[in-house]
Amino acid sequence: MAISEFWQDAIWNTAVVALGVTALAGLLAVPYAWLLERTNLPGRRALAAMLTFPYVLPSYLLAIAWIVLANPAVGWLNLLAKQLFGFEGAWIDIYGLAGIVFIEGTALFPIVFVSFRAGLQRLDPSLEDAARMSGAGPLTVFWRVTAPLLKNTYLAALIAVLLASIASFGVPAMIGAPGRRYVLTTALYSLVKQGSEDALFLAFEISAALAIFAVLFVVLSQVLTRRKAALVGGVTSRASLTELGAYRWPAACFCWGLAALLIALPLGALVLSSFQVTPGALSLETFGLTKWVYVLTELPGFGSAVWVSLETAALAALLVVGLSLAIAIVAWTGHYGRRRRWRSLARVADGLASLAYSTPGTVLALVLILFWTAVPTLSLANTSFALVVAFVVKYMLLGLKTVEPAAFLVHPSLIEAAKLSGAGPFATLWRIWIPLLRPALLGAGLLVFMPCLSELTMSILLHGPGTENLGVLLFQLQEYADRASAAVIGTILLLTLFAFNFVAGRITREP
Amino acid sequence: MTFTRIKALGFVVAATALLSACKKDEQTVWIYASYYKEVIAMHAPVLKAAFPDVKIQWYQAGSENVSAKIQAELTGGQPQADIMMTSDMFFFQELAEKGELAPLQDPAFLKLPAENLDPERRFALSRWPVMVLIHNESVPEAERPKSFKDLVDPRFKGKITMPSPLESGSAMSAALYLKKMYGEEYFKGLRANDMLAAGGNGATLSRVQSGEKTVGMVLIENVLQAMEKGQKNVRFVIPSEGALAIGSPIAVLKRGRNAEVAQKIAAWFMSSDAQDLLIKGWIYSAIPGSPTPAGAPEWSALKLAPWDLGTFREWSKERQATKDMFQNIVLR
Repeated sequence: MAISEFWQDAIWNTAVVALGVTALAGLLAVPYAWLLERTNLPGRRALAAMLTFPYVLPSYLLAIAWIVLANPAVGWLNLLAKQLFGFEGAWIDIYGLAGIVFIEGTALFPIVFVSFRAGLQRLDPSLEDAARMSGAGPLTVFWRVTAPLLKNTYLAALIAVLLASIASFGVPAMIGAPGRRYVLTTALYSLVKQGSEDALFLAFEISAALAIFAVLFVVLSQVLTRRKAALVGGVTSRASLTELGAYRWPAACFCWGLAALLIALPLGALVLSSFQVTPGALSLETFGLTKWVYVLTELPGFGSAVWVSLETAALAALLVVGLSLAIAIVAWTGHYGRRRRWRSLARVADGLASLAYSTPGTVLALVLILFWTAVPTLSLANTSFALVVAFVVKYMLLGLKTVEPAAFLVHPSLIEAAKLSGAGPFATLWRIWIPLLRPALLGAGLLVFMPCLSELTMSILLHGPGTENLGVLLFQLQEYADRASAAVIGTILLLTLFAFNFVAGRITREP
Repeated sequence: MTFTRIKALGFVVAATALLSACKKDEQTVWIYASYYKEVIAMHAPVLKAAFPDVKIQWYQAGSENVSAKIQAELTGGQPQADIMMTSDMFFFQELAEKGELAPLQDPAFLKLPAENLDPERRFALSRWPVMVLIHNESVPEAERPKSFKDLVDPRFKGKITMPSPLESGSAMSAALYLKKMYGEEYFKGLRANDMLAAGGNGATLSRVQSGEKTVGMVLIENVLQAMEKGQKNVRFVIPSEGALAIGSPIAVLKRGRNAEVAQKIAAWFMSSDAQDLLIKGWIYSAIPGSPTPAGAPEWSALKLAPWDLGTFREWSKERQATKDMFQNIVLR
């Protein structure tokens, strides 16, 4: 087997994709964040909501949409180009590394945008004001004052994007495979699918090597974020906005236009294509409700997939919230109480959680499969708990990061008072901790629930008969049999996540 | 949301999760099949009526995915699968050699001619999907491929598609047949023509329907079904080499939990009830004298090469090598 060359290609492609995605997301995010936070650009609030929305979407939805729009032979954009300008052949070809970089870049850009924008909001504006009063123009202020202060925030966000793009599976599987471009995750998946024991053990070895990278990146990002805390001052006043003047409307057109192209266009195409009945022909009579009726009433496995998705996501969210609360209380006790050792215990839990979060899902799933193969008595294979365990391990960090900081705001006097009034540990938990931390707990639950609802990367390896979730069903339909039904399920996921995102927004705004 | 409501919600979720974990009972038989989802949907209610006391669960995936799943379950110790039905008979040969398949006991299997039944009755060929050439109607008459050999002609560059042998058992079997007929050079020719091999037969059909690719190979039942549904922009051609008949077996796993009931259910798939449903799904029955699927050519018109299971047993040793070859030549 000439496997080594195959893996060389896969490693090279992974590097190209990861660096390309990081560069694209990083370059897009800074001007957007600055324009939305520091200038008088019209429609900033709506634009910000639109730009952050892909954050809650699984990136494979964008891949499905771009396949509809820009597959070389019958992509809608290509058909349009042919009709309008008489282009022969493919105007845009989404299949390939460039397509992966473009789609992943759009999907992961919110990570950098959100954290850079949050950095701008936290930044003490008096520093910028001082520079401005000393006669510096807006660009000089940005480069000499703002940028150096937010450098570490930015780098940490870029590392997050880098890790996410190395770990991504759905987009490279759908966009890369037709052009024979494999990255590490899709190569591992094809190895597992070969079915032989040799292939399976080779997959284990390669994923072990991948896991080492994750450790390196976690250490790096810990170092960066530790220094960030010292750089951010308390918020004293609102930053003054730069007047864009004559550039205001051109800038607005550009920002809105690009956002429409990157987000509204593909999501619109996804929804529209779910109504397309016969693949190919693009005319009014090929649209209808047939596929929606088919998916909702007939498609075998759809009901079960909805149930599995809801069940596993809800259980995982519940477990993460419970565990986060427990660890947060341990950390709190170590910090404020006499048990100093507990603080380090909680730190170990934090470290493990960030390690798991940074490890590609493909690797986590393979580790679980290896464990079950070695210890069959503890095997969860073929049960939905396999998915739940993987989700909890992967997304534990999201819970900890939300609940721990909130817990540290609880003043020790409250707990003392409860103790003095004769409350036992359970009464303290039910009457003090949970009510006080309710917004954080709910927020953490939703933060875990949403990615689990549409999870694909780990589920595709861990699902068993009858435990296919929506992500797996959609992927199988898209890749194996029936793209039109996949578009319907994609649209259902899109609308559901939109609704949850809205609810999450309301909850986290609650005081 | 009030605190008590959260508590209640939590309990409900936990309780349902526990219930769903406990509902596994002993009389559950798992059928792992590469049948199309629609064909399973036709079988499930009829089978349920025939075995009212047994809980029958289906796992549907591409043959090669089913094979990988079963392989993983066997490696893990206790397989969940009781009955296996896919289109990769070479995998059945492999498992039979390893002693993982229980001999089929029911007399129903004796209806089969010798070339459809393993001599030790460890598996039986229950149906014959057939691989043919397909083209989009937009391809002019003179330019349509007439043989598998035609597909390596440079005029088809960028236009060919087929299912992936890493997912579909029929594609895997076709790859093995074609390797025997034309050797590795043939696949280098397909690679040079940028053939797209991905997904299953359904995906291949929709690629040709949409015009993303215009020619290729696919199982005939997909084309017949599309034509039946009024989607007439695709046509099939019986290749001049003869169509490729993909013998698709059924077997009972020896280490399955419910081997006894599984034997009876496996036999049910030989009954005329079950075979009629297959024919309704445009698939050729393995039982001699069965009617031809609607709109399908007569069995004799398929120009099939004669076969015997002994040859296939020899070929099955090349199953993994064929997949590797395909991966290394066509998929890279």
